[in-house]
Amino acid sequence: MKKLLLWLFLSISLTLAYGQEVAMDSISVQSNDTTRVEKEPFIKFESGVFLETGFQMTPVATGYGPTSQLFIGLQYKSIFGGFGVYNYRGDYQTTVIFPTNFNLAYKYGAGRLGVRAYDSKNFEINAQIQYGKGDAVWIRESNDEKFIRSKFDIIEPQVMALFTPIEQVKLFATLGYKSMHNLDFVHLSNKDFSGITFGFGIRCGIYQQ
Amino acid sequence: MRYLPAIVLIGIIISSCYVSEELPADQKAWGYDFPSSVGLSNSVLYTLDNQIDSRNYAEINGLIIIKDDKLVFENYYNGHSRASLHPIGRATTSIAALVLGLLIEQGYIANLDIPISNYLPEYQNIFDSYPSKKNITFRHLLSNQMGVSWNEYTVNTERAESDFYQMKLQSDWAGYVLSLNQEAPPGLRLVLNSGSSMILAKIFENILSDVSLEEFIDNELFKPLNMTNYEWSYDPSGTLDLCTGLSISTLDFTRIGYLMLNEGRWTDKRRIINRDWILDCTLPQTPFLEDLDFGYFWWVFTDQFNSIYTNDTNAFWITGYRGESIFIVPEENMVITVMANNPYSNIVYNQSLNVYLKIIESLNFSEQDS
Repeated sequence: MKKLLLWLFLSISLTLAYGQEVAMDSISVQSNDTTRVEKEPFIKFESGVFLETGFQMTPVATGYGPTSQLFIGLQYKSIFGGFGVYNYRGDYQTTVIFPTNFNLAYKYGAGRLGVRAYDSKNFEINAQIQYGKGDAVWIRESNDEKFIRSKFDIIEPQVMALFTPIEQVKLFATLGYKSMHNLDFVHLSNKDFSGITFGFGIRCGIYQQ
Repeated sequence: MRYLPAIVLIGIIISSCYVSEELPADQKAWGYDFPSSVGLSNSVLYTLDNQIDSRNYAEINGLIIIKDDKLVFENYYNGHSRASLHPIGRATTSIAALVLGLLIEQGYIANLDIPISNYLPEYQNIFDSYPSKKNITFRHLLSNQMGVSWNEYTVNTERAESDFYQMKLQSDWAGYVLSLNQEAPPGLRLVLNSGSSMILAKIFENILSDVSLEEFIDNELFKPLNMTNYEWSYDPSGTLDLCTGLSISTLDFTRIGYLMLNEGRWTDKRRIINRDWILDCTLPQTPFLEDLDFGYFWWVFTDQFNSIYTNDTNAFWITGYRGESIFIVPEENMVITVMANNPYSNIVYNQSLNVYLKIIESLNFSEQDS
């Protein structure tokens, strides 16, 4: 189901891109006209849709663990927003209930709203805030049974720095503070998941001037 | 931008796929702790866990230990999980006893010495044919002294020659039990007879005119205990099977044991069942074996058994015929649930009892734990 929806999204994105090219191709230009096309600087993105993927290091109990992210966003001038899914990929194991070892897993979906605070030729800085809801689960090591679950809320203000090496592609790094709420989970609490986060990733987008 | 709504919708759907997955919520009845913190030996229980996993105790599918209001051991074996339902066989009669207590407290039944014939007009022909059966009371049903012929203890219930087995071939199980040959006057002979709980089920259904018996049990007993994982079955006549018809998760089965341990109160101190009734059920009412006395559908280890096997630790228990057992050890504030599936084993001396004895043994080794 998840893969199907992702393919749907990608298909629509490609259709949009192809549709734009077809629209450009359909413009008929008289042979005796002279047309001068000046290529605009590719960093001056005004609006578009983009897909982000990356990793974020997030606090778990006394250490840190990686969280993967997949994010779909829309940008209009300096404002952007979207939705993402975040999946903890770390390896945190403990004996939650004697005598069994359990592995921690958690994931959440989050909405994001942000603003481009600084913009130069191939570098920009964004300020953004994310709010999400998710599930934390203890999984029995012996049989991968999802044993105990708790829902939670996440609020995460972030600063994102983006570098644009080639057109339509941006590399980014984030620094933020994750604050977890409403977790009711044996062995771990909200504060075990709250703290400074940092991450990196890549953003691909289709933009219009 | 005309595709914006579609893209946003897809984003929302993808996000919701990740956050709406249905997973079990945690139980809230007890906190978690390690066995060693409540006086049990971690090492002995680790060994026991490995032995169960290696099938040294035949087929044990779940084991839970509650001690000092803490869940200190919980594990499942042979592919079973916390949510797995297990038929608990004749241990279902433990529910019959609790329902009877509720109906007495609510005034539906005055006391245990009332003849059951008053509540069974549909079997008037049986009472007319066997007048001595008119003297059978609730107390006789509860204490296995109704006097009819029944070979439950001597013949394995899963064999065709068993009365238990034959009962299940009938359309009306209560009528079958009641119609069997009256071997002795009520109250004279003790014969283990779980089929009597089907007679109780029929009486309960006759008394409860506004709600079904299943709804009554659900509202008065299971919901207050936050029990969620269970299923009932019925006999072919449509009577709730209070003899063997409950399938339940190991965790929810444990809740029944904890209610008994706390003499009818739940974890929030709410009283669910009258304390006197719990004591009546769990104190020795009639002797059965050298090692075992009967309460009201609950069994009690004798002092002789305790002195030999448990270092004088008293306990009462209920068990199904495949070893689906709850052991309650009041002086240790402990409930042990062994969810076994061992057919054709002795109804008393079986692998579940061995698991119980091993856990009692771990009490005595606690000081050696690091």
